[in-house]
Amino acid sequence: MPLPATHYLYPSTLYSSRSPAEVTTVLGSCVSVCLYDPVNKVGGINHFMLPVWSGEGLASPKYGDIAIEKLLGKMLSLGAVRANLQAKVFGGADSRRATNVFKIGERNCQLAFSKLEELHIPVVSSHWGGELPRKLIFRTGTGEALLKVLSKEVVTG
Amino acid sequence: MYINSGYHIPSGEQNPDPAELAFLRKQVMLLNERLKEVEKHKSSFLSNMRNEIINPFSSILGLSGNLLGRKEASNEQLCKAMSLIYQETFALDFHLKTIFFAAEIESGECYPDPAYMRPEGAVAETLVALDHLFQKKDLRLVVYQSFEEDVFCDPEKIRMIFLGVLYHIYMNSKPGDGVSVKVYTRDETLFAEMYNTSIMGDEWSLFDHAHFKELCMFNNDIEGIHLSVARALTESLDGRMEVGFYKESIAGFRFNVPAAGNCGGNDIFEDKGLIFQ
Repeated sequence: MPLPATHYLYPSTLYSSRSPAEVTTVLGSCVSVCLYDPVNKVGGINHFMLPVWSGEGLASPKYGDIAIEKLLGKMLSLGAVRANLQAKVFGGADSRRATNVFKIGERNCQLAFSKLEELHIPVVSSHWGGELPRKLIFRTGTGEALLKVLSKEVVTG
Repeated sequence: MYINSGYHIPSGEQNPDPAELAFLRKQVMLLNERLKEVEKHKSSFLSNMRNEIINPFSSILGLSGNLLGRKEASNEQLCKAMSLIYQETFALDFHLKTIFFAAEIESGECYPDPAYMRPEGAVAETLVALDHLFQKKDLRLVVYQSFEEDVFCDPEKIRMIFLGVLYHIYMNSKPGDGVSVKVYTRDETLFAEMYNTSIMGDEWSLFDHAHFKELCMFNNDIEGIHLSVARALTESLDGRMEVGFYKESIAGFRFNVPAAGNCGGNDIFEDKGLIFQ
């Protein structure tokens, strides 16, 4: 059996494919939403940095509301069926420093959960919050997510 | 705080509060106004984009057709015609590249493609590409470069960032203005500072950190899109861009891009991680 392709997911990008792939990313205050259709075996993942696009500048998947919609659109175009989709949410750490008043990680997570609820996509598992970054590997062919909490504290988003 | 829970369906209200309904109606009206504004910008952008692509094509076809139709032409006439064709072709190439990069960024498929690059090459290519524009406005260019070593970065995106920022400075400069370009590397990071020095006049030497802030949003008309793309590309390379204001005018830009780091890695993972099936 051929090995799945590997792909590193940079912030503000997304990845989805019909052929199995192992996608790696590292999350601080950023959040990744993983979507998977277990019937048609189509998976996808995004990596966003901020919750909501203000409407100015490029409509980039740097913003969660854009990233989730675009990931959904791409997966539907690859043959995923919306009613089958399941979601997993990871990331959203926040530094404990007193200067961290924006709580970007928490806001990113809140956006992810509320957006998925709005889209009626169930969240079957998640691992978010805290103060430490995470390394995530998502397998688009099986929907499996492997996660490791890293020891270095989050300093920036 | 960690959650590992399922999906929760909120219950609906049978008798909504009238005050809440009024508030929600107001929110919907505000959103509709916002949507109209965004649609108006979109139409303006598409109209600008159409003009910025169709007009240069028309000019190139017209000029080259004119040249082909001539039986005799002096060297001077040929040079002038070729210069005009070059200008239109440059504009077309630049606008199209910007639009394609914008499309890649917005689709979430703009990935870094790093290689060892000589920054002075990217600077030289940018200045040569924009030379005809700088000459048009008689801009006085001062360039300072200092490179310790080659830097591991994405050459194509670096060139687009330089082009986008300098093009913006050109568009907002008056004839005869001074432009300063400073590019250097330090600690495996590429730094660049590009200013219109005439905006501040004699106070140029007083321009300091206090005048800089992180790049604000720009509308997506055809001029603003070059800067929006430059900023998005800088961020995609894990860099940062700041804009320098002077009395509410944009005086210049300062940005840096670190060397592309190790992405992913293959450290032992399974034994010490969590698995979500």
